[in-house]
Amino acid sequence: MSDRNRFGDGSGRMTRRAMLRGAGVAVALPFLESWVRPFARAAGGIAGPPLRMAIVTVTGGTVLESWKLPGGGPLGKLPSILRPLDFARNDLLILTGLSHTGASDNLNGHENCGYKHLTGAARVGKIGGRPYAGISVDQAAARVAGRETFLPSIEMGLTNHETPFSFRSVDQPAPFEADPRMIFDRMFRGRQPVVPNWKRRGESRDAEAGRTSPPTDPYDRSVLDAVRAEARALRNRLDSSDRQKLDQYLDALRASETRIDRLEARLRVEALDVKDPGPSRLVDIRIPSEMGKPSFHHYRELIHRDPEKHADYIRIMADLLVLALQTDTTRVVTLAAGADDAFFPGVVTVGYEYHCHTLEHQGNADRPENADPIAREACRQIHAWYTEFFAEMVARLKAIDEGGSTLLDNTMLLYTSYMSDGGHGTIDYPALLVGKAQGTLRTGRQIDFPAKTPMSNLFVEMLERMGAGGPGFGDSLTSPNRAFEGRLPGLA
Amino acid sequence: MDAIRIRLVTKRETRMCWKSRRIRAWILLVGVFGSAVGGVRGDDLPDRYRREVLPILNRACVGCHGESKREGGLSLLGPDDPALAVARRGVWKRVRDRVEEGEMPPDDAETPLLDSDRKTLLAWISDAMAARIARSVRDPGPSVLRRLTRGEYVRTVGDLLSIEKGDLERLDLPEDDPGDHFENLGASLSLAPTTLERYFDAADRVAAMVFGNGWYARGSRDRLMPVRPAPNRPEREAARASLARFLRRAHRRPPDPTEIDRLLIFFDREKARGAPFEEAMRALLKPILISPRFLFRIEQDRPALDGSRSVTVDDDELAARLSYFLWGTMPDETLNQLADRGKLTSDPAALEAEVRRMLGDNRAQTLSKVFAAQWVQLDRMRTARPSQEFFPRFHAGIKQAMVEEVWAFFDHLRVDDRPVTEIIDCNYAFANEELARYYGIKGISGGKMQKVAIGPSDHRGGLLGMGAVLASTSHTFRTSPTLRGKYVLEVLLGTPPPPPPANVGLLKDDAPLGKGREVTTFREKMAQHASSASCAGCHRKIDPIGFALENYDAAGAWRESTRDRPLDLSGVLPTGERIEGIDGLKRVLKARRDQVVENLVARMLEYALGRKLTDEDEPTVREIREMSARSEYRYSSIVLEVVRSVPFQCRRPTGREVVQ
Repeated sequence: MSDRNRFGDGSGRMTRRAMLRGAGVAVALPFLESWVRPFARAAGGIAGPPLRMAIVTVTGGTVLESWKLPGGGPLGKLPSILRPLDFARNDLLILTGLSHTGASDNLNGHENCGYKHLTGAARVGKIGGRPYAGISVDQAAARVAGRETFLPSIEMGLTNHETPFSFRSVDQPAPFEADPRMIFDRMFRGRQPVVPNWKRRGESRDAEAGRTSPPTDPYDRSVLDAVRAEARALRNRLDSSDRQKLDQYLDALRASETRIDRLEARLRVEALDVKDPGPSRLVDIRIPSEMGKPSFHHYRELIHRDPEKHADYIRIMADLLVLALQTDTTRVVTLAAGADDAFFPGVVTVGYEYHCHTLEHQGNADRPENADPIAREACRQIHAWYTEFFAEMVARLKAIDEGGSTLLDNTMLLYTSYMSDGGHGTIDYPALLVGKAQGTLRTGRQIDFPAKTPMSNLFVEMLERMGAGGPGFGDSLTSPNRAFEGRLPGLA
Repeated sequence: MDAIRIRLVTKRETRMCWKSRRIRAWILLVGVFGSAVGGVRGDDLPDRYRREVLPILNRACVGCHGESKREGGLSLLGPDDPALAVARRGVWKRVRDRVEEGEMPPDDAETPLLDSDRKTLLAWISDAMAARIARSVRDPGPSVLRRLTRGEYVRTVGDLLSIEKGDLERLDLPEDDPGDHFENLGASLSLAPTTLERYFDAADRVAAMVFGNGWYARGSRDRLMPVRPAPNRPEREAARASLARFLRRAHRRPPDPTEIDRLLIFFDREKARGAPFEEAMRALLKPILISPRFLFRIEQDRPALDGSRSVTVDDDELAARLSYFLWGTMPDETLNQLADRGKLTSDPAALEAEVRRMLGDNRAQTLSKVFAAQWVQLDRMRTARPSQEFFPRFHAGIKQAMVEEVWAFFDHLRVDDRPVTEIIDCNYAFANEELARYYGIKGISGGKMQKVAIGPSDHRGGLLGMGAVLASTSHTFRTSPTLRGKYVLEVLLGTPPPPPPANVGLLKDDAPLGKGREVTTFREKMAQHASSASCAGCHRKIDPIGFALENYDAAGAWRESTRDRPLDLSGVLPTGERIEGIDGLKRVLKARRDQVVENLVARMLEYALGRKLTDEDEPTVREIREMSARSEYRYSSIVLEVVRSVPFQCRRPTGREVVQ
């Protein structure tokens, strides 16, 4: 665990910056740029828009020969699954050969892949029915990039107990929210969506505003004070093991307080944005009322049966992702799209089977030539369908002007899947980076890495760009297949 | 420096822990031999251990299960003192199970276990297990502070404020991690920072419902404000009286006066701003709904009066234990009144009558929909994915009916107070028209679940005839005898096989039947993964049970054959028992009726206590089973004995808790 502390403790760097800026200004953290991001600075963007990271992961069963090109180099005609992204060809960076090869205890095939997916952990499993893996790349990024935003990160979409992709720590999965309404509420409770004016925010006036305006709603604060007093009084009457449980509660109260602090500081800055917003138009979110009637749970069943509902759902979730980044509600989003147990009549136009999970298995074999070709084509169709919505989302990001650069320019977007094939595979994952990540990625290419190069190496590269870098991540330095000293050469 | 100090402390604590365990073991032995209540007295057990058992262990077992090798994490050489060795119930239970099954020692062991030694060993274990432990010295086990589960929260808020459940379902609190068995196990009910945020949000939404336009809202406000201001009753007096009554219900015990004062500040502040009475009362709701006294089930730590190992909980605590066990929600008015009068802890007849009343109440459906459903792993149905191509008759409606069948069956056991042994076999089933047609049962119409009399030719009856169980233990396009066998061992017999070694057979098990792969029959294929030594030990136990269920396809329908070959339904258990088909399997299970019932008792006790059972709970489980045997294992008798048991009624006293 101790090697994880580097994500939580950057005091050394902060001190250096404090000295550069003069202590007085640096104290007005956390909504000033308090982190030296080498890449962001290289791009000349300290005062400009920050770098964001998003992961869109689709369910298993993709068909890799239709996902990547036969060889690396500049991108020509795109492989069929990625073809909807043709308009953004120069923003794409296809990476091949990346794999997870860690050990697994007491897990089924979906769990094995689900736990390793974003953690790259050297060992995953269950103890007493509870999952363990390692911190996931999104949560590691959020520990640093999340300090400056209203929410540290957002995890959304369809996952299940077999696929808890995000882990806050070794044994603490971060729950995914499936209901778009809940996500919207969570993002904009107590604040209204507004486009940040990054140019103005870079100037010091905002910091002044942050310190002078009065706090917003003292009610929640006094509620917190009251229950804290109650919990403390109660503590003495409990036995020592119960006290430990109550201490969790007290810790959670502190975290809520921090959130209120953030909300207040954030509102002061956003009040200025309301008067003088950034140049782009806000993403217009219209959540169809049927998604909440009678409950989202009900709609979720429909998603599994009806591809049109499924499409509406993915579109809304993608819009929420764009809105979250545009409004700087968070800088780290993970979206899990699709579902293994969904049916795809109409999307799948070959054969008689529409059940995705069955197709994944039938369309997969030790070698593609041995698989059922009809089921494999069906899987290809499903994944080409996913990419259509992903491409729409990329187009939106590309259309948002943040004052001289687009939101896509300021984003590092990973498009991938939790299984490398329909047979619970973990070798040679689909991995596509989209966006130039403020000039730190050279796009328009495919790079082929040797088979079994750890996927964790990619996560190391992403974390460094998010200012959360360190010597290693997951099994990047410990995998039996470790390579390139835990890095991926040639991305920039 | 600090780190070193911490390590030292930990070491010392470990030693103290070990010491106190010794002391505990001694007290336990006093219980076993000093004040035996009925059953085997067992005074000669330590002596027999030294003379008879230890030599056998040394000959046949210690080679692998000694201090040096500890295979399977098991050393049979524990404490030197034979009296302490007797108390290692968990160890002896494992030994008994493995030796009885013929699984240990393995066939290729260096020294075989002579038949006479085997008998001596098992006879001694059987006596050691049967030695009674007096209630007075029984350890109630660790009590764990429990947060309300998601379901408990929704039901409790619904009852506390008379809000319609459908609206509350939309609060979207996070699902609880079910851990190994039940989602209400205190140890897994953690409270992440985001969870508390959700409670914050939920409290705001609940306040909006109470003060909204729903048809129930007026009633909800009456719950919050049972006392209104009147000409002779000033507003603040009404607020205080309302608060006292509301907190009694929200905290599940009479509130402290200081607590009332602390909360009235919220009322006063709103009044000072000129808010009307109702609005000022609204400000009280949020601090109450996120209070630890509401979100957690708090029980007070108390010293033992006489150095005893347990203290009885008070009436309010017992009322909450009862209501969350039987109803999954807060106590109602009747139960609270009994608690106020001190009846629950003082009057066994009143307690029994109250348990019976509660069992008959509709709220006790949670025993079926939550307890039983989690016990039989019904949520696996959510991810059951029978392929549409191979099982075109299976669809979402059937899937839902299969789930409801399980609920209806367990609710029938409760409402009609049936013997719980009917989970093994019975002459009825529950189905609606659609499901009955799917099962091939005639004469049922309508979408409602109904009880159907069935005969042997219907091939249903009991848990193993239920589509939900059969479909959720299958792969998408074929059955899985391994999953089914494991299910029976785990869910019905309470002896789950250990997990397979890491990564073995995990990824290839499911490989589709492609070209060049159909050279073997299904059973030969299964035999492959049961042939290597490392797998065979468990699969010899698991697979014969699963094959007995091969008449049911991967979507739970009956079949006489597969597409191209007849079914192969027979198998031999490690004990030598032959099983043939579902009827044969039911015969085997009926012969182990006591084990099946004891497992159900253990699961119910676990659910009632919100913690995993330990070896020390075994005498309690056994006793509950024996007592309920007198009432033919009727549902209510098991529930009543759980309620009467030491761990349900008591806590460990101050200073006896074990820090985990």
